[in-house]
Amino acid sequence: MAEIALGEIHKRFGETIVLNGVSLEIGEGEFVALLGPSGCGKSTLLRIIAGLEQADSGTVRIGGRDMADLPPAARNLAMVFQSYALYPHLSVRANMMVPLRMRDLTGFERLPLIGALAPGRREKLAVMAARVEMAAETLKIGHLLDRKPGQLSGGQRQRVALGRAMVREPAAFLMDEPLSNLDAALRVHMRTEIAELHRALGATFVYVTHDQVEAMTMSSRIAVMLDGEIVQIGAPAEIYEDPRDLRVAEFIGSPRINVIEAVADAAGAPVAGHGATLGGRFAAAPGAALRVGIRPEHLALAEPARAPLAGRVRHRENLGAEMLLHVAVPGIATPVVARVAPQAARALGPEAQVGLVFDPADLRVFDANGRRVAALARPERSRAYG
Amino acid sequence: MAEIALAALPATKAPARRAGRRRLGRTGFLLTLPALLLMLALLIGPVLAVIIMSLTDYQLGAAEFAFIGLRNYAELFADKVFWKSLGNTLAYAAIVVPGSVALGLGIALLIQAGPGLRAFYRAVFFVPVMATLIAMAISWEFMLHAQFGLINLTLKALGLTPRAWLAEPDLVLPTLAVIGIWQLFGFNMVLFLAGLVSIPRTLYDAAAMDGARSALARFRLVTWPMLGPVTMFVVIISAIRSFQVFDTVHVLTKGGPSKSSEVLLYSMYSEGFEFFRSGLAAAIAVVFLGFVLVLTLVKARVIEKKVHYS
Ligand SMILES: Nc1ncnc2c1ncn2[C@@H]1O[C@H](COP(=O)(O)OP(=O)(O)OP(=O)(O)O)[C@@H](O)[C@H]1O
Ligand SMILES: [Mg+2]
Repeated sequence: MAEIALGEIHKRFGETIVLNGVSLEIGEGEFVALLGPSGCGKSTLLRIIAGLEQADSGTVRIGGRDMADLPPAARNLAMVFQSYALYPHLSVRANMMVPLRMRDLTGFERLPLIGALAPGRREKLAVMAARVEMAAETLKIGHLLDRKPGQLSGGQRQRVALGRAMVREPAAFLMDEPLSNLDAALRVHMRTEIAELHRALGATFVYVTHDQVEAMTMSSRIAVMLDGEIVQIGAPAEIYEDPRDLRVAEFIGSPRINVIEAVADAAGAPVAGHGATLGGRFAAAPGAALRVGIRPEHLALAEPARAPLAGRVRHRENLGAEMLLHVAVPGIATPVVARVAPQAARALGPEAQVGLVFDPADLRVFDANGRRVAALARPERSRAYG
Repeated sequence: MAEIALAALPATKAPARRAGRRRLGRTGFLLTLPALLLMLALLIGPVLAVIIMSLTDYQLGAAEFAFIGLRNYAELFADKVFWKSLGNTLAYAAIVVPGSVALGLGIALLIQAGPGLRAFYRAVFFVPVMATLIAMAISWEFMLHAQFGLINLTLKALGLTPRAWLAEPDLVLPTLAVIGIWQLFGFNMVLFLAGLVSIPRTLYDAAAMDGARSALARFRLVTWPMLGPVTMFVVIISAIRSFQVFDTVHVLTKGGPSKSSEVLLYSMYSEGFEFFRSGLAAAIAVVFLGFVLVLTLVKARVIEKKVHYS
């Protein structure tokens, strides 16, 4: 168990800059998710931590020790690969034994046939076998130990890969989208299992994913990566509630946050394209272009005449517990999506004219470059619309 | 088509379905017929002809022949030269198979690990495979010549004793085997290269994470087991090809000196086309086919099960 500290990691492949100055501190026993869209450099960063890839510049420290020039084997990390990377010719037991054999047996003891002559080898193997059995017990794969990986289902292979990572008690676990090859139901199940495993082992976990639900549900902190940079690090709730960057706000949350183009008035309140003042006061110069984000669940139905946003319902998505309304508001380019209770929306006919209200405290305002604009004097919730 | 339509019907239509299946079977048979006929004409026919011929006293060019049962085989198995020839062939294979497999694998690993010029090396080492062996055998003859050969000249220049590579009974078979390895390893190398390319990179990553530090450890944990099926194939092909050794013997030694480089196919050739005893030559051919058949069966049955992981 150890903390991991990354300092100003740069990496390029040929002309493409893949990592552009990534710094990250991961505490001992923490579960940090690296979350970002495909191709943003998550795997590359993880491989640099592992030592499978060399950074062009920057430092990797694990447990306070500089890892520069240390091969992967010397870093005492375990990695779970997206493709599992089990050795197909070895049984589950032998697969899980490999890290122990490599660490605890000498080269001579690993030799076929004559290695058996080494004194003490038998005892060592017995200890290893016991640890494999124990890990298998934890992961409930005890009955699969004598099978080959080819005879296992995806979920079972995933467990074996976890088991192979566990047996050695590494300083930290690195996981690269370990659930992406599983079906939806199994993914939900494995999510809890991995989170439980983390609690049980108390080890440091670095978990790469492009699935925000995985990141939100499992991790203690999320590092959002975009285009080779970490844009924001924080607890899942913080990332969701308080995005520092429009790209983060847009990446996290489903359905996506609504973004309304606006201009700041003299008081710093955003005025939308159709002329309605959206409310609140923000640290923006008068006339500055703003992009106002409001999450679908923060919108509520109201009388069109009294609401700052009003328009026709273009499309309804019934998700059972809730309903998504796509409302075309004149003067706003993309339809505004509202998440409302189905009972409230059922009465509405197609193309109904509706109004949408919100609490100005729920507005997240960004400048033209996508950087967050701070709110001045947060309005009281009681004084909000609706 | 009929099967698909019928499959959708409830189970009460079983007789109709059975008829449909029979029709399907007949169609399948008709479709394989051309291939079956070709196989019969080109493979099974000639083999049968050879087996039948091995039971006769037929002589090349003779007007008539008689069935003599297994007398050809009896004569063969009583003949010291045949046993010598069989022994030589096995000894030749025992050198060429490990030699060409190890060299092919070694060079494939070097090319794979090297930074560049892969296509160049691949082409260079493949040249002996494509070259006509008869022509190449003549170049080897020059190189191995006792007085003026490049090899002996080099040895002399280095102060070593030159040898009569093709004239010393103890030396001739190993010399031919070296030529055999030279001819074969490029082919094996290409197969190994293809096998190496298909090994998933993540297995090497996993091996590195699991603590395999040296190239040897990685080779033992990933490369060698993952090459299992290719190695199996390469060994069988090399064995069959070394059983077929003929060109070099014919050009360089004619089985000499004193039968010490006599091999199976050369015996067959001399019985059949120098002494015109076609029946006896056919019996040798049957023995040869037997060996090839055993190798093929070994490949198909025993080992394929063990080296394919699924
Ligand atoms: N070995 C390589 N050579 C060249 N380019 C590479 C190499 N590995 C990765 N890249 C490039 O680096 C970028 C980041 O790749 P990386 O695998 O880290 O993305 P990722 O965030 O893990 O994406 P995904 O979610 O799809 O796995 C991509 O544009 C990719 O094309
Ligand atoms: Mg990736």
